[in-house]
This record gives sequence, structure tokens and C-alpha cells, in this order.
Amino acid sequence: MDAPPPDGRPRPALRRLTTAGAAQVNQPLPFGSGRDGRPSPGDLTEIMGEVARGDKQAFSTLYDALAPLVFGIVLKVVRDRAQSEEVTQEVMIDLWRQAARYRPEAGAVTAWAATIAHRRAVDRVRSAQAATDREHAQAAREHTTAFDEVSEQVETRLESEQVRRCLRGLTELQRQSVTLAYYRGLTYREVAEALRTPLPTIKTRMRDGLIRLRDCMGVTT
Amino acid sequence: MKHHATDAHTLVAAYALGALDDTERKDFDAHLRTCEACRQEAAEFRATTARLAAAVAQQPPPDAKARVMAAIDGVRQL
Repeated sequence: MDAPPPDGRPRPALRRLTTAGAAQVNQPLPFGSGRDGRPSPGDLTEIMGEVARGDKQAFSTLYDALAPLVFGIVLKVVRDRAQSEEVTQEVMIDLWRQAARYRPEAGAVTAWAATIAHRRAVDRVRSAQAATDREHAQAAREHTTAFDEVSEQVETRLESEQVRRCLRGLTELQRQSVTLAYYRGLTYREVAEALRTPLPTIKTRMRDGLIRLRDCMGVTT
Repeated sequence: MKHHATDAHTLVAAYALGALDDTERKDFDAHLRTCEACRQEAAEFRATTARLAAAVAQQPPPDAKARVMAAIDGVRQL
């Protein structure tokens, strides 16, 4: 479905619904897709094509669909609100700039946008922390329980019941490996250090944790 | 011989979680171009981490959109 006309501007022409990608709409959708007049994944792919051709009206629709996803993950990693707003703006502009690079066969638009947003957020956090890295790692070693509490908070604040349920299905080490990396922006080395666990174990827990999450969420590409 | 080749499969998850440093990520990007199985798994893992992102989605401040829409006027697309 189309987004409502923004700011009283004329409604854009109705978009053709994609029927070829029917399998995509049968899986659980990332964020309220199909409700509230938000575009489905198939629509987003089509909209991306228009954005890549310089269509600003299409970009306006794309913004409405993706900005909450982008802002949410940036805020989770960066935590400071003002900086997160700044990073989110950079990411959204980057999506406009890089639109032609999006390849549908490599994954959904939401996955592409989340990857770009997460990387920018992590870049911001890592450059800010570069000066205090040593201190940071030391603090991490001394406060493993603090990380436990953080992961706990991360979990209870999730909006998606399914994601929360799937995270609960992980072992403690899998869950912490995944959430410390993704929601806190730690490298796997930092995760290993924070959890006082050997590197190869962390790499393996990240992998089997994601496999379990993927299967629990019924993710396909 | 690059040790990454044997190591690579165990790094797919860390890659999708954004948990590699810049050098490792670039090495892994290069590896992905030659490993179909890794590409497939990376795509699935990215779809999975995107769901982790969606689970924490939040509305940005309402005035942010106008700033972005104004900014793209001066941004050349690739």
C-alpha cells in the first residue's frame, strides 16, 4: 500500500503491488509491514529502483519506511540521542547516494539499510572510543556482570515479541555474543574479552547463535 | 597462502554482526566474492540481524525528514 501523502502534497501514483515475490510476504515481516499503510518488502525493492533513478518522491516513501529502522539501531549502538540523530541523517543521505548499488538478489532493502546503518553507528562509536580502548577493555574485564545486566535490558526493551522469544531460545553465551556485538557495537575480540571466553569459542557462538535465530525467525533470503 | 580461507566460514557470523574490524571486513568482503556458500550464509545472517534492528525501531524526530530531503538536493547519486 502507499504511504499517506506527506505534508499535504499530492498523492503519488499508486504503486503496483509485486505478486512475483509472494513468498516474501508470507514470512514474518521486520516492522509492521503491511499495516499502517507501510510498503511491503516487494514494494520497497521497486521503490529502491525509482530512488536509484533520482525520484525524490520515491525517496520520501523510502524514508518513511526505513528511518525508524535506521534510527532505532543507530540509537541502540550510539546511545547518545543527538549523535544518533546526526548519524541517522548521514545514513539516510547515504541510502539516497548509494541507491544504485542496491542488489535485490543480495537481500531485502531492510537488510541492506540495516547493514549500512549499523556500520555507521559502529564507526561512530569506535572512533569515539579509540582513545579509551584500553580503559574500555579493562572495564569490560572487570564488569562482566554489568554486561549481563545490559543484555537483559536490551532484551526487555525489544518491541518485537518474536525476536525476544527467539533470543530467549539461545544459550546465555550465544545470546551475549550476539547482543554485545550487534547492540553494543563490540568487535568479536572485545566480546571475547568482555565474556572472558576464548576467541574461537566466541566466533562459534556467534555463528550457532545466528543460525538458531535465523531458524527461529524463519528467515529466508 | 591466506589463512583467511580456512578461517572464513567461522567469520561469517561476526561479519554479519558488524563485529569485524576494518581490515578483517575488507578481507572478508574479498573472500565473499569467491565463496558462494559464504555469500548465501552472509545474506541469511544479515536478514537475521536486520530483524534485530527492526526489533528496536524508533521514530526519529519529525523535523529530521525535512533536513534529509533538503540535503539530498545537493547530493549526487552514484
